[in-house]
Amino acid sequence: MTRHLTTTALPLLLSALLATACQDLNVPDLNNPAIDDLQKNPTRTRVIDATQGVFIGARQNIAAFNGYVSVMGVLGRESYNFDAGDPRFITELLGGPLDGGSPRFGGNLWNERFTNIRNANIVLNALVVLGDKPIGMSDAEKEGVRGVVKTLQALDFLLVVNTRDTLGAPIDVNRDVITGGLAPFVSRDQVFAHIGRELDSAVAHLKLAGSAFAFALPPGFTGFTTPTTFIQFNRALKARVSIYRVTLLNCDLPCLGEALTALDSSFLSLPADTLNFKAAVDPTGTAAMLARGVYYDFGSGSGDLTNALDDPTGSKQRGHPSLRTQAEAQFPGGPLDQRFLNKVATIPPGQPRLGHTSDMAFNIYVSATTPVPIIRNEELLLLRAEYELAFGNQPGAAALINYIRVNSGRLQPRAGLDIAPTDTVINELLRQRVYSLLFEGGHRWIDARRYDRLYPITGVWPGLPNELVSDNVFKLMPIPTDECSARSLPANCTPLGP
Amino acid sequence: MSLLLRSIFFSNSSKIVELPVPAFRTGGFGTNLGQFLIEQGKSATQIVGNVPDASPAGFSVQPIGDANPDFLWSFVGDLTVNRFSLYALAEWQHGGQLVNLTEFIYDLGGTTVDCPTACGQRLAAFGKDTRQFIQSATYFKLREVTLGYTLPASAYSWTGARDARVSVSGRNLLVVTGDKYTGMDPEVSNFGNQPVARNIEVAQYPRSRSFWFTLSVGF
Repeated sequence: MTRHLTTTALPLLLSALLATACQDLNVPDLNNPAIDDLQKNPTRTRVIDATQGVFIGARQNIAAFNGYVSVMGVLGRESYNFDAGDPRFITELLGGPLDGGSPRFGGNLWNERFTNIRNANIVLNALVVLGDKPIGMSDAEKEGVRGVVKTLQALDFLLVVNTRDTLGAPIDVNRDVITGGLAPFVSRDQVFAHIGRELDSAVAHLKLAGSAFAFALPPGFTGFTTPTTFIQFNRALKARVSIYRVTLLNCDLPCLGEALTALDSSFLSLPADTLNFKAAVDPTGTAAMLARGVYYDFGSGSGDLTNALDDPTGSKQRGHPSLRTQAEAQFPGGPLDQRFLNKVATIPPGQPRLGHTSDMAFNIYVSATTPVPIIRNEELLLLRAEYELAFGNQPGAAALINYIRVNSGRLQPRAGLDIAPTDTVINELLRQRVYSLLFEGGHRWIDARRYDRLYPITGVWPGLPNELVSDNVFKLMPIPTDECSARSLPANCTPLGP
Repeated sequence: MSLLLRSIFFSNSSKIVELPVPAFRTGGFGTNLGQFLIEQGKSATQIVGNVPDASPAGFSVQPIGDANPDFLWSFVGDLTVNRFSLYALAEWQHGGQLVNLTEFIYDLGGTTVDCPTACGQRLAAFGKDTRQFIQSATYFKLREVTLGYTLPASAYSWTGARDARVSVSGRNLLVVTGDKYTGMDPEVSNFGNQPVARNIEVAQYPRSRSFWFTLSVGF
């Protein structure tokens, strides 16, 4: 009897057990969830994780040794990159031609931005499918996610158009490229309009987002972690974009109006008395006021991204020689501009690198976890000065420029700026922007381009400085060759036409 | 006496017959320093680079070579005469190109043999003409020669051994390359073991010539 049981019943029992247990032997990789999962079955936790992923992706290739800050610094003559591993940091970025086929030079600063734009679209698509609490999110929480994610997406588009300028960029990228084809390139004006619309749409979402977000924001956003305060960050970006449009696109009054509204709704703290020598009285407080803003964060934990611009010995990042030659003295016979002294350290120059020499290293990012500014009050003050100048209020612009001269650079105020010719004021504004925003995100290059001052203008402006005759100033970076090839265009294409 | 000769002839080529995504580049450092283009209808190991032409940019990306050799032919010879044995292994690879960036590094330092004239021309053409880095990967290598002697029983019977043999061998003895190759060893891959992105040379150490003395005793 028992023998029957073991020889016939046991296999039957075992197979019954297996049949019920082995419905699905596929165990997903829980550390790398598939995107399908997030798009078809989003849950609250997955959407929060993906939202924080957009913050993480926003800082990719910003503070890399050959990332946004470094490459734009070389193109804009803020810095050199003396990395010994590749001569193209000098031969291609300074001598040229910029080649879209070089993934880390001419064709750089594109993929990472569009990867994060796609990350943002993935979150936005998931929100459409996501249900209500407790598995999902409430409407207010969803609006909070939309507001934050659209703001970061607009920032990524801004960083793209800063590099490619009149070559344009694709904006309608929230699509399945296999069925819908590649998004077409649109003009620079349309990219800026798209950025402005995204930022405004984000504000509308944030106003419906209640009093708190459903997720934590990284430490670089300290002070801007509620929907109300995040709107101030959004408006700061909108102010920058509007001022860029005023200068680049001759947008004039409509953009000026947008710029003023945005500046007033941002975290700009205008000094009550612009001739107040605050820095001499309260250097720490003034520095904190100028530094207040939003930052990209970095960390040295396992799997985290470090700030690779931390380079006190100048092994890769070096200061451009013009930084010292163009710095003013704080008073006749005195030390140089305080911003130069704070941000640049002198180091032994060593051997020239392909003919270029520099004895300066940057002191701004002092550790692997130092944050990189996205936008600060100092920039907002200078944007306000630009607004006043474009609006015709030259005394107002001069007052703000002098405020920055005195309180950031410890320089003397420049007399006669309120009645000087416009070009003189523009030159002064640009010089203050160089030192105030030094090595933070290619501002010298972007500003020179939007004021048509990349190249010398006789009697007005010497152009961006070149150490050697063989150095060339470039107006924009080419489209990466893979992007061109995917559209069946030759390398270094101009998708919008010649 | 016995003589054994063995020869293996090997040749292959590849062609991508189906690629559901647009053609893309892989490997290498960028088109101005040589890259590999995965493109439907073409060899999987084609090397592309910048070639000057009349386009607005002054150059365009064209195929400039193929890393795959035409054939690989190895020869093994094993001669045994009385107690002596001689073994040799040689290999001949014909065809295939490599990207020689070692010469580029020497050019940048101004220390190439043909500086300043020819190397100055190469430096001036950098970025627009990648063909100057393409060199032939043809080689003939004498990989190993071993001379052995089987010891007579009288020499080792006092140890209780069954047999003993001494041999002297040399490895990586000879490399003969085409005259268009200026480096040290064309069997090279800067990025290690890659299925496609091989044959890029950036100042690698060549294989060392080594000599071995072996005594083998069987118990």
